[in-house]
Amino acid sequence: MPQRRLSKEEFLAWVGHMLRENRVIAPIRSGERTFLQEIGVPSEVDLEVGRPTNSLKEFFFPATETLFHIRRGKKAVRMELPEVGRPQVLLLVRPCDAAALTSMDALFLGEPADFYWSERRKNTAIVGLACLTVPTPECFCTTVGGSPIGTENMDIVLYRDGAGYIAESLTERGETLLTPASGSALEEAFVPRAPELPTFPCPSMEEWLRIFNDDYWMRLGERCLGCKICTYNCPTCYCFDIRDRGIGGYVERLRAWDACTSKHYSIEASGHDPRPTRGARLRNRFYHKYYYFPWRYNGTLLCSGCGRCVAQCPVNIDLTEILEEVAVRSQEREEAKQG
Amino acid sequence: MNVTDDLRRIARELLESGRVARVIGYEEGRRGQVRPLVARTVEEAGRLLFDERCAHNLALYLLDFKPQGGEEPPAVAVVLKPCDARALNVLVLENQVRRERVYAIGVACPGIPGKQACATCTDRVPPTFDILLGTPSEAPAASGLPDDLARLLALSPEERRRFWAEHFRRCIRCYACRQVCPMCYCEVCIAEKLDPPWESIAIAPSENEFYHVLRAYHLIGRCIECGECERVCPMGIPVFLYQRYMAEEVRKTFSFRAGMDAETPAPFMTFRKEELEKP
Repeated sequence: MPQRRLSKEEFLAWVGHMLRENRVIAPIRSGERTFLQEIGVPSEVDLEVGRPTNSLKEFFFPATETLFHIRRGKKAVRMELPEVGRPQVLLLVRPCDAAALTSMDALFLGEPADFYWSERRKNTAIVGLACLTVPTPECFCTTVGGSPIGTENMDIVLYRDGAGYIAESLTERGETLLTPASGSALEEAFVPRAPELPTFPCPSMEEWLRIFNDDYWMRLGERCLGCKICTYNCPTCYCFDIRDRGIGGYVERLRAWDACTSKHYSIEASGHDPRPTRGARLRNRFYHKYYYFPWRYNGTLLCSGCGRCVAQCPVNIDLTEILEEVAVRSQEREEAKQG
Repeated sequence: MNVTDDLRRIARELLESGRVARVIGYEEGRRGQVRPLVARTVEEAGRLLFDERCAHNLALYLLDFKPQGGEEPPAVAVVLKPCDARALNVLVLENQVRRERVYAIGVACPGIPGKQACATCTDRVPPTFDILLGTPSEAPAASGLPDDLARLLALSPEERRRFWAEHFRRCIRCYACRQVCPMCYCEVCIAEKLDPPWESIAIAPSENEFYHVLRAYHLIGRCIECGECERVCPMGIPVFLYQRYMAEEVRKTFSFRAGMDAETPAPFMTFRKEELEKP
């Protein structure tokens, strides 16, 4: 389909149209931060969005959700599923966040597929926003195989064009969604050019393996706070906890986010903790992303280079620095071995 | 006079003489910010620095040097601004840290530009130190309540409830505010106790509110007003606002500020018979 040029007014009118039949999630400015959240009116959309504080994962995998209710009836015990998968549109999604869904799909859509993720994924349209300029200093998507103008998992891609956008539908769903938008067709196609990003080494699994026991991880752990900022706002961290709670006459099974960086996460039933220090826990986060996950899922990394953990860590634990350290230390070990 | 040069010299001496095994300070970060450094060697001590970007409260890291299994932890030195030194005092008072095992490198603090907690702070010299670096600037006149707190107190209870509900709705319970707080050292936080589960694992408005209210109450008379909780919040929740209010109430009611010395127990941690309410 030909690309279409939408002025700011035409874009907002289109958002208004989508709001009639969909839950629309878009970046909203609040103080100094921008959050992805459900909007009520088009004017709420933060058109200047760089990278929202939260990732898009919560709209597929909410921080907390009811998996099912169990109710005792007169004759039998009934299990009730909540309603999942109301049609929704995610607006102005950056390529890194959209690409992150590929890793999450590998996990949640692998057999047996996760019902909740899969229902929401089916019923969500993604309107992406390509990065024609580098949105934030912490961006490193190209290091992990992404592209600032990548369109993976998007139904429509938008390119910033003055105060408005150039829109291009990429899927049938995108085409349907874009149909009611006004705007004029572009006679000559706009060909986006990717901006230059800083690049960092992306060590191989072998390199990661070599330095598992390096003191570096324990030294990093010394300054790590052991909070969950990096995992909860990460588009690809998916660890969760499941628990039942009884509420007036029925039982609810809950699933809520959890994080390997927190102290109680890895304690086993015996009381033993295989990751007893902040350093060991922090190391697990990075190895999960760059070793365990690609090992399990055909080389797919569990990181899309969005830079949130880099930007938000209060003690400057910087993944791009870690990638460099892993490469250097691994090289040193290899050289030492070969003498 | 350059604080960083003095700091590096002292840190080197402390490590070289074996007086301490670690110097907890700040180093240059990767992107223009500073970050905590637990220096072990003379070389590492050469990376230490102090300037007006040093917002972190390093007293937090003293909790990593608590005795474990009867083993005496190594002596450590730590760089402390006035509020950080107040934290040290509270930790000593509460038997978490032994003062004689800590070499406190006090720094005269100009206030960290842009940090919420520093806007109305008048402390320039740490209440405890073994050596003081820098020349204290003249303390500003007390300016009363910070603007945001004054604005909040002017609201009706219903408006205030809405204000907090809006913020707590956004909380993701990453617990960064708790993890960064030197006073939040419970082995298992009540918010994460599994048996019995005082609080559900749900990350939802009601649970979030429970957590924040609980934490606020647990810190009454113990908060040393460093404001790290608010600085680290990724979601922009004004966590320090309620701590600041509580601290203000304690100051007004009991003429007490936490951590000004290591001997005076906090009002809510003491029990005096004469305070019993007569029936």
